[in-house]
Amino acid sequence: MAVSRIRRWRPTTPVITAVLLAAMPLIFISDFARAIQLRFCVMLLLLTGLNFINGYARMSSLAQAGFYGLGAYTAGILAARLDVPPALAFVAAPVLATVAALVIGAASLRLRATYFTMATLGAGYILYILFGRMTGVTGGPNGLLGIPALSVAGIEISGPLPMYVLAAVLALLGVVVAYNFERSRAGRALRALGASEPAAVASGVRAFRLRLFAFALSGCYAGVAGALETFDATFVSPSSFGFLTAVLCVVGLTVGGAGRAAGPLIGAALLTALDELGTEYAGYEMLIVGLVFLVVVQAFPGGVAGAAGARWPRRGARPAVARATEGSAS
Amino acid sequence: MTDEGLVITGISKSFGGVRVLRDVSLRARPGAVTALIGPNGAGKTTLANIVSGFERPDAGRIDVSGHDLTRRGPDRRATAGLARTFQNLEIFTGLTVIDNVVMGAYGRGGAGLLSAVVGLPRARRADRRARAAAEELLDRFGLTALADAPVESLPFGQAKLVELARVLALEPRVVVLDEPVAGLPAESVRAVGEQVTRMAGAGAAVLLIEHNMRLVMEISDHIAVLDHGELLMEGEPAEVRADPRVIEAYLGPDADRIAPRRES
Ligand SMILES: Nc1ncnc2c1ncn2[C@@H]1O[C@H](COP(=O)(O)OP(=O)(O)OP(=O)(O)O)[C@@H](O)[C@H]1O
Ligand SMILES: [Mg+2]
Repeated sequence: MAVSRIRRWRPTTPVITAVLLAAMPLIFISDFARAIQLRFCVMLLLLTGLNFINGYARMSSLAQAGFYGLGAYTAGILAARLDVPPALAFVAAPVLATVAALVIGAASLRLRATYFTMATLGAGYILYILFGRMTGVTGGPNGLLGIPALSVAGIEISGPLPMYVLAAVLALLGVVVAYNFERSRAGRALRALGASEPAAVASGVRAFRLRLFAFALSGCYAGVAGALETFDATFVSPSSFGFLTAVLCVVGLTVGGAGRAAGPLIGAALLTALDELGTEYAGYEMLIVGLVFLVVVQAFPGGVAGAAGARWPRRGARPAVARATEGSAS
Repeated sequence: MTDEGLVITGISKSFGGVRVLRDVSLRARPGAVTALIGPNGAGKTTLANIVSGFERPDAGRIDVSGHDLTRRGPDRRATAGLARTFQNLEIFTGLTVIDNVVMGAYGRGGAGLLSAVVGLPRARRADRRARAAAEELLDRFGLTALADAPVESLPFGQAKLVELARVLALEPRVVVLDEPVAGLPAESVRAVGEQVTRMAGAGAAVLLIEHNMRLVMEISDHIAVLDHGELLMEGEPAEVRADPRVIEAYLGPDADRIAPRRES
């Protein structure tokens, strides 16, 4: 009994993220490593955003790739074609992606779960088609070129290391906000809504509004990820924002652990690793994805983070469960 | 102004041409337990859904403490002080026991969405208050030791108690309980009964839907009998138990000894 009093400190997800993001560029310093590290930050933003709707709210959105692309093209088009200052173009990306999420969410979040998924699939696909077909604006399949370097207050942020620092700061900020949210009244309400809609609504939760808020957050995060991608690559092409990316986001989050703070972190690491595997074993990566997905979903319904959480429970959890079962037996 | 409690007036409801409720009027007074009994399929849960706003009536109105709530959604009714439990256990899996109870107070208000995301001190203070209140409730239900356990790890009886504690966290004026002791072992039935009595004692209007006649007879101040969507009769426990129509429709000839069983 006394043991449960001792609160062993365990690193929280923001702390692990901060250490990881700070250590990676010190350990691996090549430009090649830098590109992978930046990719990891982008994935982390995408999955942390998706976790609001697919994790906490337990809805399944397939629109994340579309919002990601919208962010990338917004930043790219504004900076390259309309001569908007790059920093402003960067900020406009999450704003537009958020607005798009609000519009798409308003139209689809009153639908039941499966129809919502279909609607987001459709919306994401429409965006993807627009990226490829609106050649005059987006550059079409050939991509959008001529993206200037990002500069903030006269200081240019270009080259692998400065871009990585920006990406890492934004990714960490995203993780901290998500972590705060999960523990807040609204975050608790969103998780409650995901677990039991009737009980949550009967407790006073405004289901539609809260889901719309979660969906808008997911769009916002994807917009930031898109802007980072654009200014890092100085090139945007539609192929990164299609169905495959949408599915990979969902798979990555599910395998990592949807609805858990550590889920996006693990998922982003796996997707980044997969990216590298994909370049070596081109063509087989989806086979790997499929197999890993099947095994994890069967064996660990809570994803890797869920399995780890069951192995090393949070303080108090295990003794309490033991007491509960003792209580029912007596 | 005196609190009128829950006033149900002339409620009718059909599902695809089948009349499930026909002109049902009923009152649950503050400070009293009003039981709603009746055979399976009588329309009790449908009435609970209409009272709490999950189902819209074809006709009639619902008033809580003098306010017409008929056109409000279920979330707004919670804000107006109406709480309910569900016939099938509805708990927040993935949340701890204490967070389940804290959630019950959601309808009473708190910090907004944005201050929550940023983690403003005001949001934290409001959160601490809700937690302290929830801790008190857990203590009352004997669940303190389980506060940090995931709610899905609890046995059914204790999960039902968590649901009841969650309802109380709203500090409701009207409580609708849909079969709170179905499937519970005897000692849990007693615990739930005590808590229901206590809710009424604290001034809430309790509408108790229940098949366990022993419990109903013991803790109710007033009993209404629903049969085929119509109110068959209402009165004090002794009157209801002795009424030949109720015995025929629901209780059966051995009403004194046997509680009607329901298949589940
Ligand atoms: N959504 C619905 N659509 C169609 N019929 C329904 C619906 N909900 C309930 N019913 C029907 O209405 C009738 C009343 O059901 P209700 O669940 O209110 O009964 P009850 O009194 O709660 O029964 P029990 O004691 O078994 O819980 C039943 O015949 C049921 O089949
Ligand atoms: Mg029922």
